[in-house]
Amino acid sequence: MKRLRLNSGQATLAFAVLVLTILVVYPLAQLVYQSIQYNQQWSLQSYLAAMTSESNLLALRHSLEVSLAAMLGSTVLGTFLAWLIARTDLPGRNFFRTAFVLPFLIPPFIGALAWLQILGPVGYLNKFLMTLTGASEPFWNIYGPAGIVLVMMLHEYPTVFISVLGGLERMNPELEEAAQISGGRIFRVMRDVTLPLMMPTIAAGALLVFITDIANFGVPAILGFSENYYVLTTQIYNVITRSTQPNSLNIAAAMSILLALVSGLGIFLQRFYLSNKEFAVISGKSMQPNVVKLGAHRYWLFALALTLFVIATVAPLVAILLTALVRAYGLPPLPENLTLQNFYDVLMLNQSSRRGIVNSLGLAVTAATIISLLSAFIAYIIVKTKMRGRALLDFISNAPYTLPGTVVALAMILAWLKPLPLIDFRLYNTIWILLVAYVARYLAFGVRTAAGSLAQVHSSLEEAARISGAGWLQSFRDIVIPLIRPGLFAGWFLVFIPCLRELTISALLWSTRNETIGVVVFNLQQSGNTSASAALAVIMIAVLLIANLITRRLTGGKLGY
Amino acid sequence: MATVTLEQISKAFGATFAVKDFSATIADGEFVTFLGPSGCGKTTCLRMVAGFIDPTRGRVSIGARVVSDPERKIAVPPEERGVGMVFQSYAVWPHMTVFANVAYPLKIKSVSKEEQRQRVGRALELMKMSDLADRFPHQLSGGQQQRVALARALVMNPQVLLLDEPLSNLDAKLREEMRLELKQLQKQTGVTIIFVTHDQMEAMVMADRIVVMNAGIIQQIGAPREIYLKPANRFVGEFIGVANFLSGRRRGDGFALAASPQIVLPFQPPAALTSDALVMMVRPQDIALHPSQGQLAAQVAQKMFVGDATEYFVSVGGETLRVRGAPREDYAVGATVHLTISAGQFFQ
Repeated sequence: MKRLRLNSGQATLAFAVLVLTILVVYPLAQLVYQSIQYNQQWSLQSYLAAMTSESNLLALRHSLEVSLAAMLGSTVLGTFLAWLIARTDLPGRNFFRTAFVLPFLIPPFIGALAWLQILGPVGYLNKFLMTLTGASEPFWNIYGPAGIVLVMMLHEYPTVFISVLGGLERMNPELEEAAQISGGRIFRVMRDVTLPLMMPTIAAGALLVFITDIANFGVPAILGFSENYYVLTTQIYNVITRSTQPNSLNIAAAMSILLALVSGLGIFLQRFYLSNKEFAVISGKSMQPNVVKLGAHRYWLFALALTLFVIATVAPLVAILLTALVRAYGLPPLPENLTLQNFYDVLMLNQSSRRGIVNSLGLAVTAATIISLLSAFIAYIIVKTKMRGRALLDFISNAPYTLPGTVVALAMILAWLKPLPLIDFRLYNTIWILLVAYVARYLAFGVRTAAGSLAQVHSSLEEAARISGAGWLQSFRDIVIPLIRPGLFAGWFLVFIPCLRELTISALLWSTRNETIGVVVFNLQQSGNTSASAALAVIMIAVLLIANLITRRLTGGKLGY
Repeated sequence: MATVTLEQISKAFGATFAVKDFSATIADGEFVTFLGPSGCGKTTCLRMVAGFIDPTRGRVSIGARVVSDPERKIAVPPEERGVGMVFQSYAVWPHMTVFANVAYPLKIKSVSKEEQRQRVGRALELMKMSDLADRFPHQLSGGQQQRVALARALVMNPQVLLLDEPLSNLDAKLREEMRLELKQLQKQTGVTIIFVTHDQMEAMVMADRIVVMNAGIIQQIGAPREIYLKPANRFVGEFIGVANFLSGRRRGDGFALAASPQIVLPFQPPAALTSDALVMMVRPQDIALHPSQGQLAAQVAQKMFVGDATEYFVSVGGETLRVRGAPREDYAVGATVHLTISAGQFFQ
């Protein structure tokens, strides 16, 4: 008797395609479709409206201005610090190597909140300087573009720092030595050889910062709303949440696509620089590169490095902690004003913040677990098979993370606004739309780590299982999954942590009873309850730090900071 | 051109010495090779001449000028030493054309554009690279990149040329070609060359003199022939060429094998060797094979036909010797052959 047997490889592919269609392709297709609809008809009117509105054009200009300025700052700062660590005898280099990456631990919108405590109208530094000088006006007001640039820059310079540091350390030192033996003094060698060779790395890092900054929602929302200073992401947020005009979602869709195009241009340029293999300068051997002996300069450079560490990491953390501990916002942080009441409020009394914590933890655990399982299959198809269309699979699973979060969120709204057919269930306004969006958004993290592990598993291991009589699915379960388990595990944490700190997508998809921590912190701040928002932010940072430590411990220091 | 003098130089990394009490004088226009197994300190020595590593003790002079002397706090940086260097990875800058690579040392010295063109042209011509001046390194083969590195090192007419295993990344055929070319180049330019390698063949072919190093210490300095024929110690004998070592002791005016004392070879150890237990080194080509006559009988244990010879491993009284037989001679495994040793050298 002949049994009907489904080709298991094809079944896996079909499964992966189905999942990605639901999670990614359909929502993005909806976004494009809605952008070319106006009054329920095919039209480019939405684009026209998006591009002719003065406020939209202004938002685009602001986006470019702020992101370019922050990119420039992050690049100069990150490159300089990387050089200081990799190529000088600065004291405490090992400490700074870790310390300079720490801003990554603080979500950018929390950073913005923290800087409000320092340089806001009643910020600690402003008050201190006012008392010192007797001035009646704050020294500097962080609200507005300059503040946005400052916070973005301090948050994103590690991107450049990490890639340039890696580049400098992997660079073949003989390239520099050859210039030195040719008669070049150390700074001449840096100018003629080191810097030009690092240029593609620096440019790629800079573009990554630009893409991140232009997609950022939290920082311009917290530091821009009260000044009516809008960038593309916050402008789209406004159109979606506040506009009552007809077709506003269509216009928002058109604006999102414009945002995606600007960001896509950055991504394209970044890939271009990274793929520039002609400048391959990586050496196989590890040799001590020549370091600049700083001599007497080491003292002030050490002080500078320490100051930068304090400004980028210590100051915001301390400021937000102080605000969380002070009885009422605006009181000086003196012993008689300190209290734990704010923590009690957000943990015990405030129902929305309690729900936010539970929801975020639940979403993060669920999304991370789903992604770990899905990415094993998707990564398998991409890495281990020769199936046609696997490159497309890779591209699609990367898209939601590469696109700005605002774009993804709007795509989800448009896709899941209407009730699902057959079961008549509406995802919109429930926690499930957040879950779907999180899974789509961070799928790339899981696929990337799983693909990395899978590439290490030689196909002969699987073939040996097949020759021993195991079917494809059986060998996948018995051989492949156990071998890539560390990778799946690492991927789980790589998804868990960003889910916890998410704001951009949650801010557009949350609904009453379905808040996330980020949303509650943001809402508390917007409604003027700074103390509670600071207390919840401190709790959020604490949870992130613990998750980060666990990640480091479990991955033997390979992941986490 | 210049003499390079290394006087009692040592380099310590923490408590361990990478190089210890290294003294050598490299004459003007000489081609000297630092030879030794990896980790023996030869590259460290070269980098001390270049100025990339400062010696812990000792003195380095190039010509009449002292460039390193920690006692007198002299440490001339590499860029002021006026030496040329070719690195193991060639270190050809990938963002510059061949021309720009070679012109760079001249550019730093602010040599006029016209003179740069002439001198780079000459250097490239010398390396037969003239038609590739506008190429970028990624368009060149390994051998071509190496020529660029050589041209760049030579363009400023250095007093000394340092070569750090420059042939090790080339394939066998190209390596042989470059050996001859480097030799030729030195004749043409008269430059003093220090060449670092772990390949004894390379050292033999190219060097006027070889400095054999092991574990940071000089084992022997001498011409290739001398090093090969009169190794100063067992390490040198073993490292250079193929050698058999027979343990034994003095017996009258002969040498009795330790494994079978009844076999006495007709070689008298020099009187200077006072120790009782001695080792005799015999090169395979110093052992003649004969079907019936010889100093001692041996059994063929293994044989390998390598074309220009047959290599035999034969057993004599508990020792195994490596012997070369003429290609047309043929002894079966298990057969008895008679050996005649024509030369050997004793170590303690």
